[in-house]
Amino acid sequence: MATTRLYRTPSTSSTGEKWTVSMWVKMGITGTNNILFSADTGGSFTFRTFVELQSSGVIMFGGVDNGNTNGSLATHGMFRDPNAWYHLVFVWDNLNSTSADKMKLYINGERMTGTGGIAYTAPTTNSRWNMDNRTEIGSRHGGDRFFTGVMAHVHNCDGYAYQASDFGETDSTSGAWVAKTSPSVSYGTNGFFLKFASGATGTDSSGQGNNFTTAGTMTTTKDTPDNNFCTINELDNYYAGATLSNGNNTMVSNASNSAWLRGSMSVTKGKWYWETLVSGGLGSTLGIAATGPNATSATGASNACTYAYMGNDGTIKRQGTGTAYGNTYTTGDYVGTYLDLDNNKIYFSKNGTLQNSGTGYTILTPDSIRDTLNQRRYSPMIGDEDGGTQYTFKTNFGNGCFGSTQLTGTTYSDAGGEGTFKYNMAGTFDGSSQNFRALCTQNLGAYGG
Amino acid sequence: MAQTKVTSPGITDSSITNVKIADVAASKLTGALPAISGASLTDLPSETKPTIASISPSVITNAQTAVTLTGTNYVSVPQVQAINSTGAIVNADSITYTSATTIVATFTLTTDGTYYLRVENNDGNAVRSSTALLTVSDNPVWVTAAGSLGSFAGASAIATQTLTCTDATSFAITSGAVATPLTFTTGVGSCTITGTQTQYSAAATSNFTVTATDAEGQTADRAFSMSWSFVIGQGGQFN
Repeated sequence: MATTRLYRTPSTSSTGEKWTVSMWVKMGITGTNNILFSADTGGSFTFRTFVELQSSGVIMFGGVDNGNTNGSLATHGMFRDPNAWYHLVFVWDNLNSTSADKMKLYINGERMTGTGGIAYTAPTTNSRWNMDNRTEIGSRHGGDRFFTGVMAHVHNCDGYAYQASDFGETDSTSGAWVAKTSPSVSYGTNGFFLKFASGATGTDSSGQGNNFTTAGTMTTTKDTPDNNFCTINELDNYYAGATLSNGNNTMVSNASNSAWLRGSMSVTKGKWYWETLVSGGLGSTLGIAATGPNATSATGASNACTYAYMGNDGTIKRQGTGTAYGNTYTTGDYVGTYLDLDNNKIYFSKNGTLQNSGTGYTILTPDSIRDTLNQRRYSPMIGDEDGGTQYTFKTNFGNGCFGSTQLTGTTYSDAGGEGTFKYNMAGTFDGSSQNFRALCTQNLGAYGG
Repeated sequence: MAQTKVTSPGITDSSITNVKIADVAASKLTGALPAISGASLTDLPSETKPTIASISPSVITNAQTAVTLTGTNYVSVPQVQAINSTGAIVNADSITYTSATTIVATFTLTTDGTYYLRVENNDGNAVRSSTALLTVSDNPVWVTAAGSLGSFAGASAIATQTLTCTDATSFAITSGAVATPLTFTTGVGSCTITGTQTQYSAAATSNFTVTATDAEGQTADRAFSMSWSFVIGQGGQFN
C-alpha cells in the first residue's frame, strides 16, 4: 500500500477564490480512491478542497465548507487506464460571474462540460486551497487515500485562472497533447511547481520557495508523459489475483494462484530488455507471453503462447516442455530478459551474467504464435507456479527503480539512453553484439511496435 | 691602334680592342655574337611579345571555365595553352579576343594541379607565365546532408554533431547561428557542434549555414537546422 505524500502548510493565507492546478498523472491502482491533492482543516474535514480519482474511475473535484458541499465537479466518464498518462487541469474561479465557469476540469486539453460530460454544482464560496491549511499532494490530512501512481510537472497558480492550453499543446508531428515544460504562467503567493527531481522531490521550482516535505518513499522515475514506460499491466490481473504497487512495477503474487501477469506494452519486432528482482523462492516463471491466462491455475510454463525461464531448474519451458538453458534462480536474484524479435530469440541473464554462454533460445515468430484473440504480439511475462507461496517481483523496465528503491551507483543505459538499468545489457548474443532497448514509447516509436 | 674599318676576317682573338663596328647590315649579325664590350648595336629588328600580368579566376574546377588573362600586346586572335607540371599541354577550348590587354580563354582541365599559361600571338611572339598561375582543384564536397540535424532535448548536452566536407581545410558559420552557447569547432575535413544550449526554453529551431573552404580557397555552403524540444525528464512515483 502506498504511503507516500508531499505536504506543507502555507504560512500566509491566500483567499482561495481563484487558482489553477495543472498536473500529469499516470494512475496506479484503479478501483481504489486516490487523492491527487487536497487542503483541509483536518479532523472531520469540515472545510476542505480536494481532487480524487475515485474507485469507480470518476474524477471528483470538489469542496466542503462547514460540512456543506462547496462545489462539485465529477466526470461521467470513468478513467481506468493505468497505462496512460493524463493531463489534468483544475480551475477554481469563484469570482467568475458565470456559474458554470466557477469550476473547470480539462483532460488532455479538452474541457469536460455539459450534462453528458460532468455532474456539476457550482461553489458558493471560496475554496480552502492556497489558504493556510494543511496542503497535500497524493493524500489528505491524516494520511489516507494515498495516490498509487506517478505524477509529473505539478503546477499550482495561486490567484490565476488558466486554461489547459497554457500548460500543454498539440504536437504538430504526432498530434499528441504534450506538456509545455516552461509555461508562461504566474504562481502567486502559495503557488508552486513540482518537478520531482531526484533528491528534491518536494522542491518548488516556481521561484516562490513553497517547498514540500516528502513523507514516505518517493522515487524519481524516467516514466513521464513524454516517454511512457512499460509497467505490469493491472488490467491483466483477473486470474492472477496479484497485488500491485510502486506504480505497478511491483507484483505480489496470489498465494493460491499461479497465473501470470503481462507487461503493459507488447511488441512484434525490435530488441528489448528488462529486469526483474525475485523474492519468494525457486518457483518463478519469467519470460514472454503472447496471451494472458485463462484460469487461476494456468502457469506460464505450460501455455502454448508463453516462454518461461524457470527458477527451479533453469530450463526454458513452453507448453510444459523444458529445454536446458541456464542456472536456477531464487530470492534476491535479478533476472534480465532479452527479447530479440529481429532474430526471434530470447536470452536471460542472472545477476548480470548472460546465461547459456550467450546462446539464445529460438522462439516462434509473433506472427505464428497467437492466441484465440489472434494477438500476434509478445509482452513481458511475470509469474510463479508455486501455488502455496506468495512471490514478490519488482520489475525495472528502464524507469530506474526496483519497487521503492531507486537505482544508485553504477547504472547502465540502453542503446538510446532512454532506460536506466542495474546491469549492462550489452554483450555477445549468438556471436554478435546487439542493442537491446527499454520498453518505452520513445523506443517503441523508433525501433519496434 | 687607330679606329679602322675591318673588312676581312682572320683577326686573332684579343688582338683588337676598343673597336667600333659600323656599316654592318643587321642581317649579318644573326646567330651567336661575340661579346663585344662597349659595342652599340643598331638596326636590329623589333619584337612585340605578349605579356601576362594576371588571370581571373586563378583557381578553377575540372569543369569548363572561362579564364580572363590581362596583360599586353595581345594580337587577335592568339593561341592560349595551359601547361602543367608534367609538361602536358592543354589547348584552350576557345579564345575570345577582347583587346590588346585582355583575352578570355576557356579551358576544360580534367587533371587537378597547377598550370602555366602560354599565349602565342599569330606573329609567333609568345609568352609563358613565369609562375604557374592557374590552379585546378575540386570544390569541397559536403558529405553531411543538408537540412535538419535532428531534434534535440533542449535541456541536455547534445551528442557531438560532426559535419563532414571532403577536401575542406576550414569551416565557418556564415549565416544564421547555432543556439547559444553551443560550441562550433572548425577542423580539417569536418567541424563539430557540441555543448548544451540555453538560448531556448520552448520548442524552437536554429537555422545556420556552414561554409567549407579548401586549401585553394574554394568554398561550398550548406544549410543546416537543429530543432529543440523540451520534455518532462522525470516523474515522481508515489510508493
